[in-house]
Amino acid sequence: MITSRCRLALLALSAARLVAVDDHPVVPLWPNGAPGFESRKDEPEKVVNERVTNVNFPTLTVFLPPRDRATGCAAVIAPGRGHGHVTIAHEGYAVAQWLAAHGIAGFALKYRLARDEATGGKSPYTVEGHALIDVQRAIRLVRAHAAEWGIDPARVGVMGFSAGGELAVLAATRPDAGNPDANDPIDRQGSRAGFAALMYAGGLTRANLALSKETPPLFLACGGDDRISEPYPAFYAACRKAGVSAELHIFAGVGHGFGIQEKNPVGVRDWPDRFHDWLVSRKFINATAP
Amino acid sequence: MCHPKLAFTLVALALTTSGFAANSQPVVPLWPNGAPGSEARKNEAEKIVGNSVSNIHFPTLTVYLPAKDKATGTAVIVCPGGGHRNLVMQKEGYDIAQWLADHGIAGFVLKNRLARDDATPAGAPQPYTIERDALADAQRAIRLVRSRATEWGVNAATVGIIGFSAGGEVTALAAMHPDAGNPNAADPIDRLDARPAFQGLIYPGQSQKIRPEKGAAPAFLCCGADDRPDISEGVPKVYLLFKQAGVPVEMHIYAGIGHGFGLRPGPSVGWPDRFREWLVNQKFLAANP
Repeated sequence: MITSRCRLALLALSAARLVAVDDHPVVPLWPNGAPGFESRKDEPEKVVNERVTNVNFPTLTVFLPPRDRATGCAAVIAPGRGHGHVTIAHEGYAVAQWLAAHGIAGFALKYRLARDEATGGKSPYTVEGHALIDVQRAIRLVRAHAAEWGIDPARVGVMGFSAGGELAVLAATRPDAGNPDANDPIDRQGSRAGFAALMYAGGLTRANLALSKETPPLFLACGGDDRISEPYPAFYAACRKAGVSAELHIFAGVGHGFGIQEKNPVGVRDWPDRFHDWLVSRKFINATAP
Repeated sequence: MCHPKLAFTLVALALTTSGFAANSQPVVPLWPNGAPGSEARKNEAEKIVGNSVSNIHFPTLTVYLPAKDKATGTAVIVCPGGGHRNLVMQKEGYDIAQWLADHGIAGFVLKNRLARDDATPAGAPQPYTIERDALADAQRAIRLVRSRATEWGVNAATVGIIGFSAGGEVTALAAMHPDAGNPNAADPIDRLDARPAFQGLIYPGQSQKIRPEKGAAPAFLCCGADDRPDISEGVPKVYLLFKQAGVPVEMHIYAGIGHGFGLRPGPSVGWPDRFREWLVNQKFLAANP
């Protein structure tokens, strides 16, 4: 199930500055390659600094909490950057590591890119046909491993940043119950997110978002100086009208792509704490957890 | 410093309201001889029911200064809510000012005249309006703090205002009427600028009347998602108006809580810290006092 150490070492070279990932298991969403793209599973990814491109073999990097701190809650994390690359360190590994340190299993997702910068504008993938499928598959996969990883299947959520936020809102609004007749046991799992965190997310103005009472609770956060934040107030209001529980934080003077970084200013720097507070207040985790 | 009549009132108040924590704090009248138009009623006893005060004719500030070694020079006028019928002095006033003082910020709780005062007999005309009297009291409060800035260790440039519910409405009004002061006024306090440096609107009432203009005081907006629609859906609309006017603005809307949370434990409990962090980011407050 776990890919070779060699592949991990390559990746770690670029990301080790921020988070050491070489001791975290990497699990492919489909061991034999993504459906229809099996032949490309062994193509190497391109990694420059923390930008990952040429993603043809989507994976989850697993950050489990220490057993004595585990809450049973889990989040699939979709990093962003315009579907052109995946900002895997400060919107992926760093987030998963923070969650794990706070008792929440974090799974940093590398998904297929609809505008993969390595393809010269000829990506074979689309947002809804491939990247979204990857997020949904990731949720199913975590559920399928729930017992092994100490996770409550009802409390598997999704968190997305920027382009990854677009995927998260799509996943949150298009749940399916899984296919009970599927050969692959993972595909029998439902893809409904227990909750969704939309961090300076794209896609909020999509006409095809179906908000309803079935939509999971949403945590919305962005910087007020970010163009992508403009639809947030209206989206929050639409959630409220549709009966969707939503919390909204817009940080003044903050732009796009803050993720988890040392340089973030006071206030937005602690957004993971705000997310954690919200998980407590929405009863996804217990306030008194160790 | 404390008016003798007021001291008497305070003793009477302390006797009737042992639950109030403000007894030991100095109380300063906005106008020592009574508020304009209300001079004749300045000695009327206020009416206290539970934590709510009404029959307010002699507006005051209750002063919460930080410890000298923690003082940042930042000051905040605190406007409690109560639907303009009374003022929720404890949980949207004294408690807030105490929190601010504990964090190095001078807090001044405003007891303003009420446009729908509970104590006005049924059928009798209300003597005050929000737009004239409550606003005048808020403006005077800002000027008064500036006038005593040196004495209170306050930087006149960082005197802001925060308000809750109906007090948020008063706060927004004060920010929308940044009267620069009258250099020829007989009363030296009236010569000072009434523009607040910043405004905190916490579940503000009448959000549809908030119309920020370019150059308005930067705003911190906060409410609960379960509040009534004019607030829970109105506040994000107000946020957009601030953005459109080019006024710095921050907003926190907490899920799972409605109106009137004050400092109550629960989903919104962290808002004062968010307010404080915002003040630091906007450079109204020193990061390390």
